[in-house]
Amino acid sequence: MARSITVGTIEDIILQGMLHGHVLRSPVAAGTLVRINTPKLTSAYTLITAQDIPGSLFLNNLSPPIPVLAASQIHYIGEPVGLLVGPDRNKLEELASETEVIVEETEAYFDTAIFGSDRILAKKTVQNKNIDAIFKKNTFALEAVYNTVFQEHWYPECHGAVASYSYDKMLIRTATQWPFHVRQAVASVLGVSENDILVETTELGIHLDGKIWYPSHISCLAALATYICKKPVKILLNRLEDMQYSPKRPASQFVIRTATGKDGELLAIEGRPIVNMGAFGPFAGEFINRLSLGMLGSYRCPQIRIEGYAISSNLPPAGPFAGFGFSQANFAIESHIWSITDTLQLNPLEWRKKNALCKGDNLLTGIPIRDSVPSEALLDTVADMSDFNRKWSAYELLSRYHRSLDKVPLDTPLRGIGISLGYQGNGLLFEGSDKGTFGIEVTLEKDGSLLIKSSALGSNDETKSIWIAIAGEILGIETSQIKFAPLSTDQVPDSGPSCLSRNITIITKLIQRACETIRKQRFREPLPITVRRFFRPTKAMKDGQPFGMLSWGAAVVEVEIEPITLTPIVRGVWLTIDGGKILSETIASRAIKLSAVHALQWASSSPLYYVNGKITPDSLESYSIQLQNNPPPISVEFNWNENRDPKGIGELPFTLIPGAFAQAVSQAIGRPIRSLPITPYTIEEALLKREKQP
Amino acid sequence: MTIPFILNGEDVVAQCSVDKRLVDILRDTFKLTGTRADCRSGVCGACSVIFNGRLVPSCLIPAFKVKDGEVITIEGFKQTIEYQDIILGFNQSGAQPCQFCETSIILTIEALLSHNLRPEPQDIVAAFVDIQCRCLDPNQLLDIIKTISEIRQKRLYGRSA
Repeated sequence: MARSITVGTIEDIILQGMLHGHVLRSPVAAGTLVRINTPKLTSAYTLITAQDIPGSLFLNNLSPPIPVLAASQIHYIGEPVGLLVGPDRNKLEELASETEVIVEETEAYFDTAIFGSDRILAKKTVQNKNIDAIFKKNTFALEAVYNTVFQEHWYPECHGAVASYSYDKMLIRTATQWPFHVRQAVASVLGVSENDILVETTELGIHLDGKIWYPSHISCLAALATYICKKPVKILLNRLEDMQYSPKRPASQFVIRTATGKDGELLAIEGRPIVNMGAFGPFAGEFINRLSLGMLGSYRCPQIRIEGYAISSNLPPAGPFAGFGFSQANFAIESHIWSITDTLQLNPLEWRKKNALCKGDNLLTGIPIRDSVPSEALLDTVADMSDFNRKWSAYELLSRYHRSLDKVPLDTPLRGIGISLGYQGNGLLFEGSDKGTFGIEVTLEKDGSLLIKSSALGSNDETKSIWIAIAGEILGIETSQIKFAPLSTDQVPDSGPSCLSRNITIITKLIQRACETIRKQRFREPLPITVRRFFRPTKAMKDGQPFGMLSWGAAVVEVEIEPITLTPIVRGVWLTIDGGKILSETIASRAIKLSAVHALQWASSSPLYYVNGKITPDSLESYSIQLQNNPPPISVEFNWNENRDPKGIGELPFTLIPGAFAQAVSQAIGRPIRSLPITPYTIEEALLKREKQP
Repeated sequence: MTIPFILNGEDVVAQCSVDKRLVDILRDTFKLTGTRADCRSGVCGACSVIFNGRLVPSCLIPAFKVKDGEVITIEGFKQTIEYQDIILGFNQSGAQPCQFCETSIILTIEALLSHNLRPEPQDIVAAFVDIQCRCLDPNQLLDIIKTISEIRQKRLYGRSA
């Protein structure tokens, strides 16, 4: 097991004379901040507002910039407007509860039903004049609306940061996926050089890509408090605060219209994805690009028209979550394809095999896919594993019989099975393309040990174990001789954000290349030998090919609807994955199974709602990240091939499972399911609709 | 208020207000930071302790309830042979709970196995329903607990199931 290179957890960091920070938040969703009335504060307690910020008032390394503390305009309930700092957390809570934040309220917008151009954060348009002619022709056209809801990350430790002075530098300790982003943000807010800021990473735990930018915000608040009070300051959000105000997976809506030929092949897709990014909406452009691309699924379609919008609202900013847009989009298109195959009475497996993308087909940018696409092999394998054809035929017969009756008989469990195909794009999309000079450094020391320096940090030790195994194999070094430099910005180079499988696809490759270079130099040059390697976007990426590489997968989900409670119980999940070179089958299989559980939880648990712009406190008790029934058996198989590059695969279950799950429930009840999560209420509603409109 | 109780096998006394939460007494007074204060609503399970033989969320136990009771925290439990069974089971399964979930998972397993040495899958699911953990696959957890159960049966009775 790799040794820990982080500095423990934020909660456990206790420093001499440390103060605590309590964030004062806006009670309303939109308006103008008038004043903050605190009770009389003793000399030990300090109120910090936007006027006290010495440098930039905004997190400048985000687009659009986000205010560190609102100075005037309020954008959402819970927006930080001030910071109370003092030695006793309980006293701070008491003071905060007595503090009045007075805001002149204006009209707030929470949803995306109606929006003006001023609320459009990012837009993705693919125009196509020929498409109307296709829809006018005598083809089978189908239009439907699909919805997905917010999802909470439920981090093992809530967002927080500890700031203190270490000699002449400011030291920030926080759980972040990108320590150099924190450094840049803090330096800009304090108006100092980046070299005056040190960032050390604390234990991250399973972060599901939710700790990319928000830790920078909390760190800026802690750093500001330390700068003003000249003492160490810790800010650690409590669980309810974290749930109510930290970024979530955003809610999205898709309007999809398709025209299909006589064999069910897609002739045209017209789509309008809309995502509610909350206030500011960092990464809105990336999101809408991913939704637009994901909405086309993994299937060939000659005519495409897209009009996608990322919309701002007066909800807390939404942010990345594992799957990053693809999970919502794939659910929509896979559910839509269920409606097509169901109406045309086609076998969904055969339809997918016939219409799946192939090598040479275009993705949204018009650049052809260069690698082979193993969709047929993946679909065949997953169908064999799950006995899909037999089960689908049996359940289909039953479903058709039930549909011929006035009412679905609920004396026995209803069953259904669904299949989906999808891919995971590794790395950032289109304009993202990893613009920075991100890299790693590897040193073969005089004593023969190897030191790897990288700011990339896995949510567990498994990625590090893979890096150790690779370096050990290339250089023939004992794994105990391979060490990692502590995760501090003065000791490691910026390796970019640890998200979207970059650790596997980019950092692993860089470490591999650095070790190979050391192997060549080893007996020619004196020790120590240091090799640095930097990531450069490939030619294909510069040409517009989205993502560095694609990993593919297929999934089957079998469901039984419990007849009394209408609870959808998952009987089994089968996945086949083409992840390139699998570095450790055990670790990969374990990661896929865990992601599959998280994906199922999102697809089937109680939804998380904002009520008038705020998540209600009782959501803390009603929202669970656990599966409420016995965990289903999950089988994973890998598609072994000659591919020499490892690819990211951890997000594939988020892309594949919700769509397959929705199809399985749709088949079981004989009605299309068009929103996530699928709960007993959703099923009851669908059955009632069926009775009204047979 | 003066509150005498047994903490990890030792007689201790805490001076605090009657309504102070047990989790705060453990962390602030006794510096037992393995018990984590997270949701403070009894939802997440991170503050689990064994109180009078039962697994409880210590954030919901007020100080006056602790008087004359017995509390075992993860630090105390780590000194026992039962803990060794659990760690051996995890090692044999090749999995580890993360630093954040360690306390709740280990103490929940102990609470489960101390009452039912051969739990059925549904018993395990029921025992873990109040633990908010993202780090272990529930199916894997079933296998781990089965392994631990066998290790313990072998230690107690000289044979496994």
